[in-house]
Amino acid sequence: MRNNWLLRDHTFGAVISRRRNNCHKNPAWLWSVIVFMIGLFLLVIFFILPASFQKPAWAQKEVTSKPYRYSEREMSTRSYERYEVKPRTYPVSVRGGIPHRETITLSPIAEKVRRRKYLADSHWGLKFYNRLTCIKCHPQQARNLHAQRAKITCRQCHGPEPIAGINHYYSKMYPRRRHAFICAKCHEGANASFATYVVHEPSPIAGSTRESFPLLFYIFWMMAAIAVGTFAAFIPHTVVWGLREFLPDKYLSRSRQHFAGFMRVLRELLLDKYLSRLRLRFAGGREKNDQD
Amino acid sequence: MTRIKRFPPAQRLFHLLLMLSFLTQAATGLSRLYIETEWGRFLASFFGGYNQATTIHWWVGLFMLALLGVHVLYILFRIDWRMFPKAVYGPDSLLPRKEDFFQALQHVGWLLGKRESPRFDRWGYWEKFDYLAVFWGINILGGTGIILYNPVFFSHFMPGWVLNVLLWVHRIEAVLAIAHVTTIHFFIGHLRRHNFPMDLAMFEGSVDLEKARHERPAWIERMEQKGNLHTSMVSRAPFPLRIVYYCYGYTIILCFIYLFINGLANARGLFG
Repeated sequence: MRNNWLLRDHTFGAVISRRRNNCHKNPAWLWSVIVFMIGLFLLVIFFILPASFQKPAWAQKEVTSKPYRYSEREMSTRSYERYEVKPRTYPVSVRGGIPHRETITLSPIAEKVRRRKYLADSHWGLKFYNRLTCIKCHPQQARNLHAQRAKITCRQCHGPEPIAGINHYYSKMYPRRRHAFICAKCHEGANASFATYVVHEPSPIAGSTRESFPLLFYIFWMMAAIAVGTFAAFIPHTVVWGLREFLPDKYLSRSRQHFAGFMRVLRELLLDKYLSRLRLRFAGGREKNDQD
Repeated sequence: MTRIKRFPPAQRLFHLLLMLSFLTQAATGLSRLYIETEWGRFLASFFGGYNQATTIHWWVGLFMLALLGVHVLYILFRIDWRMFPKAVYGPDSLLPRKEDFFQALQHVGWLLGKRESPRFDRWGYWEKFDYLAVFWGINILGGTGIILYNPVFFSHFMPGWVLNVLLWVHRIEAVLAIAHVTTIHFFIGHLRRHNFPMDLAMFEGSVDLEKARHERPAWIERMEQKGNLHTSMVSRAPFPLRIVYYCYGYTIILCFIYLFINGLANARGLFG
């Protein structure tokens, strides 16, 4: 190793010295400087100037301008964050480096995971880590549309080793720059709001989703209730109708009288009275207008 | 056999285009949903693979939304504005009325053999339900579909995690629509004894007068009282055309049954 370094220094010095020696004899270096300047000029004219006239893409805003930095996120989410909080200076460790938040109580395991999300190396200190695959410990996280449909691997978003925690301030996955460094790699122009799409979506059926993603949980069950309600009403209706048409049209069973009586009472008591009252009220109003 | 006009050509064309576009959307959509299964890949291969199926799904979706827009314009032109509130709430309108609720109850009573058959007017309550369900369905599916078409743009106006929710709304509504058409609409429309083997009303535009008098007596009586029954008499469609209608209709029905049965059979593949 050391020999190589010596050799390189030596040859470098030799090149310099040879150039110096030839300078006064051959002015070719002047031409090379002129060509270099022309190249620089062309580079500025054709690449750097046009590029600087362009507006920054949405994904570039985080690094271009502070006022615009969070506008995308704030406009869409209505959550305004005025100050950035940089990480503390003391070394963060897994076992109790971050001050305990008294307002949030988590289970011991969840607390550990939450703290790991703040680490520069989120797998720091895990035993036999280099013998494990991602899916070995995070099997549920492999079931998502990005992995299944687009065949995107874990590392394409989460980065190479050491994999930083998503809440580590300087991580590319940190929510404030995730859209620029991760999402925009494929989704051109991704903004911060777009980056809040939940890639590792919880199962909408699961009860735990009610806590973690309530809107998904409630809307899923609402839509499911509409679907199930439609079929619960119409499937028996359709089946009975199909069978009924094989009976004579005038067929009536014995309990017809009771049913007819019940229906009459329902009609008179519940709906007709109310509706006729409404009709009277509106009819009165219309008559007055006609007279006017 | 005397026949009476039921659907003007414009409405038949709307239904025809709706059938074709909805079948395309169902096939391309299911091929995307089931792409992890063997059947889903087979289905997608008809359209040239996953990405091609997605492109077709987008364009036909836009076509369906345009169809809805044209249909709304058509309705606005069709409404008799001089008779405004009555024309919309009258018996010829597809909007639900008070009578529909009682007719539905009475019809259930008839199905169970406890009451006489209700005297239906031009539209039965199940037909109104079908029509309004399509209206609601295209709005829900089209609205969520447009947002999912360009999520980056629309996430300027809403949080990105709403996309997760919208995808599920799109899926459930689509499955509901496919299952409803396959199991309920086809059976009531074509396969029950009264209409078997196929009710050609939506294709020919006319129905048999005696059948209509039996199933929708109030409609025929209303027209007789007004005295315009004879003006809506039409002749039967020519025989070759009827053959075409049967073939076309049954092709669509069989396609939907194929999609529905395979969708159920491969449902395990969605979770495994």
